Amino acid sequence: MSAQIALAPAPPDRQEPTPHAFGPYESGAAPFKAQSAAPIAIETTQLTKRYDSMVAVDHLDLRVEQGEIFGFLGPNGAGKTTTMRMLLGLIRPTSGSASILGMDVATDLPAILARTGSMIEEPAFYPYLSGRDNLRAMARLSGISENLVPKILERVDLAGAANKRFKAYSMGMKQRLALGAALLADPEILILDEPANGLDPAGIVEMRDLMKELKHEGRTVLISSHVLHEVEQICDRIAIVNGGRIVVQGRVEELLHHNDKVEIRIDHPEEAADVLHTVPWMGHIDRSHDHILVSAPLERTAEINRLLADQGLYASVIKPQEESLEQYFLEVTEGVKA
Amino acid sequence: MTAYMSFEWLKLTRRWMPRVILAAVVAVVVIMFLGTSSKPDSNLANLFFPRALPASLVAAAFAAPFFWPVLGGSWPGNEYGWGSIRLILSRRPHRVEHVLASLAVLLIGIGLALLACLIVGSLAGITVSLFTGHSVFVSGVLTGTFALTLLKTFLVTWYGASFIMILAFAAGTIFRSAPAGIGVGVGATLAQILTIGILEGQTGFWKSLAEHLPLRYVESLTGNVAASAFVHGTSLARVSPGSPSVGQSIVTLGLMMIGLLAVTCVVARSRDITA
Repeated sequence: MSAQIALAPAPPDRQEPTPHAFGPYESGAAPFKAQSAAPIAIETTQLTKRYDSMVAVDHLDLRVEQGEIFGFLGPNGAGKTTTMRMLLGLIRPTSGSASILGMDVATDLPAILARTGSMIEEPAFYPYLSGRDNLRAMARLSGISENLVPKILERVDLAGAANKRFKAYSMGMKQRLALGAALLADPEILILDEPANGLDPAGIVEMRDLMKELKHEGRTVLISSHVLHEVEQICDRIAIVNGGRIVVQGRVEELLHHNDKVEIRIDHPEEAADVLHTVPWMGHIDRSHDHILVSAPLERTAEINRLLADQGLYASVIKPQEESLEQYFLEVTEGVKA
Repeated sequence: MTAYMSFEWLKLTRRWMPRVILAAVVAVVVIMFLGTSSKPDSNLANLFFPRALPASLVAAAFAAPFFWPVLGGSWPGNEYGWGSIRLILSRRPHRVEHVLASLAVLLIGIGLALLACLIVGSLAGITVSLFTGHSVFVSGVLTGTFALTLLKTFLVTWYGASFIMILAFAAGTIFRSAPAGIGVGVGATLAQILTIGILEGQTGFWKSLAEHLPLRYVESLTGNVAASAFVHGTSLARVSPGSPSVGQSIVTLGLMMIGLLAVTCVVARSRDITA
């Protein structure tokens, strides 16, 4: 599969941001307010990065809308981190361009970074500093008040370990500190590379809740993750990259319902299959002990129901087959490899 | 720039390494004082206060080529090793400013370390005078001229140490590695000591070449400026014959520092942060 699914229109009912979790800012940095116009938050145009003969990112066109959680997925080495680094100005693109909040990364980087929080790859902090001092250092670097540090530590559940040195932190604590550092300057945009890495199940749930909270506050989140179950639950849209190229990009529910397969749960699947075999527009039929899976246009599910009912066969469930993101991801990326 | 400096200052004051290096430099000052006092050396008279002040700077200058490269090389090198460089630049992307702010904070640190050497050297000098039965304070020395010489000695000692620091800092940045920075810094010192030793055994051009190695410029700065503060006829009061003048040293080291800084800034500015 290599076709790129067209971008879906912006969600019609974008929520208004709630009052900010951190209250008034003493730092002088303007507190973030979501804009109602909902334009594009992050956009790349033909973004390319080559290392000698190796193409890490290949003419990437990515569009992330304001206020959404956007999953940036792909196997290891697909070009996700390189793209994120280019968005943050850590790596210069070989060609193409990137913009964040309408500003060009090549020319307006300081203004972009002032409104963007990020964590890239494994958390890298000063091992000899405590969690608190690492965040104090980040606050100084960002030119914001150090008074925000305790609130951030509480938000990422590290208040109890604030005085422990970073080198003594567990992987999960390091991840939470990195997320805290990303949130410190009250960013409009968050670029998070594998934020769930090293988290235990409870930590993953907390991270999911935090992502939803961030979206509720009106922030835009670009997230890469291999925890696809979580991505499926929190992301509005995703892009899957492989070999530096976008293989597919679109709304999660649309991508997962793309295959026109209908699942029918019924007491007598064999008889139901026999009935459906007589229908000319019916595609392939798979049968199992308690359900059948048919290839058919989704808009004809009512008709299927009627056909079965006419024969005295009553389905308990008729619904479009929902593929998991994991299945879909493997299908897409392995299809490309093949 | 101030945000970067504030950030770097927090690191400098929280990290153990600068404290360990400060302790090592101060220890060298104390050892040189105690070592000199234990042998019948003409320089004993130069250890009594207030001559202990320039003497402590001479001792600090002697230690400089071995200790400041450790700090200078590890400072940027570890940023790449820890990956913290991306943490910095993904928040504030002015790379050249960051390089200059880091260096500025390290050079301020050297200045404070030299002040610590002055204090510890003075205490060591008083201790030596007490142990050797001399007066704790030598009267008639602390004049305006002496104070000016002391100030100049402090500044040129700091200047020479800055060159050593910048050399290691540049190597640490260019090679993205603390061991490389430290290795180049300390290795350059050892290589120059060896080269000077070999060249001084030669004659003519080769012998004169020894006077133009960076280490010679660094050494001659403190020694030549401080000479007038010491007791006439003692070895510390002698200006080494053939050594570069203070002006020559300042200009040559200044040009080298500008060159090293320029290369460091160009490299830091243009490189991809893949760490």
